[in-house]
Amino acid sequence: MARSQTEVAALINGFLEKEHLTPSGSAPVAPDTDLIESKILDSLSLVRLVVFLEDELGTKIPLEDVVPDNFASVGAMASYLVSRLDKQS
Amino acid sequence: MHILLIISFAVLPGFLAYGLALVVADLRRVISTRERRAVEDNLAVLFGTQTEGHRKEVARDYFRVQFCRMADEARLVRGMNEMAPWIEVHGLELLKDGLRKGKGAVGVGAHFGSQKICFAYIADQGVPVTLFVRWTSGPKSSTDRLMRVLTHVPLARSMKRRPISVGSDRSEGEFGGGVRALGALRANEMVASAFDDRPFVDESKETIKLRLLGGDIQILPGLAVLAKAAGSPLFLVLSHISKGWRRRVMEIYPPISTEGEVEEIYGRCIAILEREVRMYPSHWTSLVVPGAAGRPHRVAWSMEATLPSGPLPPLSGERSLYP
Repeated sequence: MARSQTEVAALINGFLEKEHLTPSGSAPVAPDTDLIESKILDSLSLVRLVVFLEDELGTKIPLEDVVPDNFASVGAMASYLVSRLDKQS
Repeated sequence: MHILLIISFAVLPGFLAYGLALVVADLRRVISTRERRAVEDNLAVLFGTQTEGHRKEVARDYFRVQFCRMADEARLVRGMNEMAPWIEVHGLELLKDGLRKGKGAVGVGAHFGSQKICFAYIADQGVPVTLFVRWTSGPKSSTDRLMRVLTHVPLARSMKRRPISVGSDRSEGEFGGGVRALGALRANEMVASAFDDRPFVDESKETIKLRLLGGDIQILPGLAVLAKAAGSPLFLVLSHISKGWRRRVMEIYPPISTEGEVEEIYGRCIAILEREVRMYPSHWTSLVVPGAAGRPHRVAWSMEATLPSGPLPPLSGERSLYP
């Protein structure tokens, strides 16, 4: 199913809040905020996020694609994932 | 001195290596009165009802276990063929059953026996193993560096995988370790590490707190989180040395349930570890943490909240290869 970048970004922000990686009720993380630099994500929460996104979006994310260019920020992830979903559909 | 010993252990036949380890250990016990007393004192605190004779016996064995472990790990340089006759294994079929589900396996080691030998043995049985080794310090001296090489080279040779140093992984950025581990599990391989490593100071937010032998223990959630995320079975792997110092006995326990929170999952591991520590107290490496120069030997780190010697200083980079 096609998803917009906004929808995917909301999905990611929902995960971050549900997993207490961002304060409950806080504003969504800005699309260009570096999640690693800002210590919102670490190696393990990234794994959980990848598995969560695979379940939610019904797609397998090749782990070689899980690199800073694609996963360092909410915006980069949304862009990568929408592009991947578009290619699949 | 350690380097000469390691080289001797590596080249001697198995029974001679253990024989040398026992002689050196007994000598070390006599010379190192501070460490011996620390072992005996900690045993008294942990298992108060022991007799003095029993404590002395366990303290003797504590030193022997440390040197036998050093001997075993050094002998890995000659490959697992050399080591295999000296290892008795229980539960390998449980692991192989677990791998049939195709989701890999998470190996949970501990500072009890030798996780390096255990996982090298499993790798030798055809299960590719990625071992996460947490170096808690940078190599400061040429001796440290050489000892690391002496450990990493034989491990890499035995495991057909380069052990991943989490310390350097951290410096490379946070994308590396977790994703590589997930990839290994998806390739139906084993990912392993010790679950009772001391956390770094900057990891304190991530730790979970549990109780072990009446004391507080801080644990990083990594292995349990990985197992849950990847849907992989989780196996606790411990080892001890048999009576008579003849061989290493390795136990792979039935898969630990990954139901519930991380605390519950590790609670199941701790229950087994605690039982084994009570049965073989001399094999628990964390029984004593040797003090840095000029400092007293400290009690087991996991007991820091309850033992009278007070809290340990934050871990900031002082740790030998064989703590």
